[in-house]
Amino acid sequence: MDPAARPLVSLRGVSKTYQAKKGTPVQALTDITLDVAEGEVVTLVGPSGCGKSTLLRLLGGLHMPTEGEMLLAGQRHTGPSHRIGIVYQQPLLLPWKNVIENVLVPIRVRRAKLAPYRERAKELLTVLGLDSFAASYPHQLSGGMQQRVGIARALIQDPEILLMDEPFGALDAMTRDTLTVELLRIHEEFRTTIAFVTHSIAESVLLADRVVVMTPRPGRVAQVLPVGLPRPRTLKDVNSERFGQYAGEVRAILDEHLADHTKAVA
Amino acid sequence: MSAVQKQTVPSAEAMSRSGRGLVAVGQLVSRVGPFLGLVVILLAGWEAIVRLLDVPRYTLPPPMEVVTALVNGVTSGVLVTHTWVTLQEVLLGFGLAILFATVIAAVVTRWELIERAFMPLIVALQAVPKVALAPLLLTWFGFGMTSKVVTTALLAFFPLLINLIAGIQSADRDRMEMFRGLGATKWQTFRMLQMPAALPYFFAGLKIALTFSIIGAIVAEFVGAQAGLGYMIQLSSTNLNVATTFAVLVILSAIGMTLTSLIGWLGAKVVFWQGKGLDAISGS
Repeated sequence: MDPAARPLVSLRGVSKTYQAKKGTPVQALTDITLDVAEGEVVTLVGPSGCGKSTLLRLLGGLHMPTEGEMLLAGQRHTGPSHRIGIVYQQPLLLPWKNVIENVLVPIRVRRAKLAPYRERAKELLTVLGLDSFAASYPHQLSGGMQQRVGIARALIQDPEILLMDEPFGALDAMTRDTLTVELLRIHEEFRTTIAFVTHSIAESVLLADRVVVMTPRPGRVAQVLPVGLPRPRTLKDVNSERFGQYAGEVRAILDEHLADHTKAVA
Repeated sequence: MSAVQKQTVPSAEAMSRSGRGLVAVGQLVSRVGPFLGLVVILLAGWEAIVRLLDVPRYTLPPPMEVVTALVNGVTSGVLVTHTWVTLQEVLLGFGLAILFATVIAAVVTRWELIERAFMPLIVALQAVPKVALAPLLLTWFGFGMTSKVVTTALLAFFPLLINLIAGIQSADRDRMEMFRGLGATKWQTFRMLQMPAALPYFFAGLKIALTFSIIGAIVAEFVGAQAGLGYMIQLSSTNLNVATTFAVLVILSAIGMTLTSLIGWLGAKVVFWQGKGLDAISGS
């Protein structure tokens, strides 16, 4: 990371409190300060309910922070933007549209000219191994293929940052591995900045330039761990000694804070 | 069938083709056979009861007389004219109901304030037995077709409206959020997500509404009319021409079945994705 470079995304003291319908407000995130550099892959890992998905939704402009400031390329970030692509846990395709039309939904919403993006959509489908399925409908695809379409849809606007909220969480282990490798390849090809939420330690280490480990509720950044594994990476890296060390470190940080949390609750 | 069995050409392909033909015929027979059998038994039973018990014609005519009345009514054009009147009432009322239900469902689901203002009213109106309004509508709109169309529309309107509202609100939170993340306007979300998501509900509503439309038209004609199948039923039963009454019932049932299967066919074409094991598009 070039320290002189302006971060693409910058969070300054961001907190988020939800007002529940009844009862006390829920503090989901506390004082998050985090920079994401251009081209970097940052993974957010933490126990369930630590607010990592909330953090991603703040980045996506879907929610506004209660406190603090968010900057996107130096400008205040105040809502949804076509400069951001989001991949959700579910593919969330529209069952009445075929694959290529699903990929083009963001363009239709933006009311941009479709023709150039149609070409781009075809390219993306080729990159994701879906070129022969452009005219298929979602119900004709497997879960893994549907999520590839979800990724293509997020990439169609050439976003500056790709936000991924446990995108492979609903898939079986083998498909999950395949898509993780594919994501590594996509990152090699497009150098897209990625923020990736997961609760899999292996996934977080394999993908990341930096792993952001979060504490249980209220979510704080426990530690940011740089991962020095050389790129391009493959699934084989999971078996390397250095990978094991990184994964062990993440596990240790998580355990430490989980223990604190249990003590505090007890 | 015996010709197929006697075939001496030993070509495997031909054998399998004829075999498949046999299977298809067999499937058809096993599918419709029981129904046709039942119809024959019922008609025979009907004819037998009328003859054996010497039931008077003005109470229950034998089936053959109903057929004769039907054929005579159609060839003379009398039943055709009245069928056309009722069909127009049903289709016009049905169409109006679709139009109003769609617009109102869109408005009610778009603005929460309007929903809160109108929903109790809609629920209250729905509880009113609409056929009870038919005499009132007759005094307002006269003996002509208008009062029938209005009654029909009123009956068909509510099931459609309720289904459309449920359908529009069935779009799941995750997809709604996805559209928000794309910066979609409310109108875009409605047009591109909520409206298509409501289609399965819409077609389910259409089937119910169609049955209600036919009831509406007939009841409105009972209350006061100069033409139509409901009018024919009244006229023929007052004249003790029960065979014609039955003939009209046959026509009504044919209209209902034809339109229902038309809607079913159209629904299957339009909502081709329904029930195809996708991650839930609507709240389960």
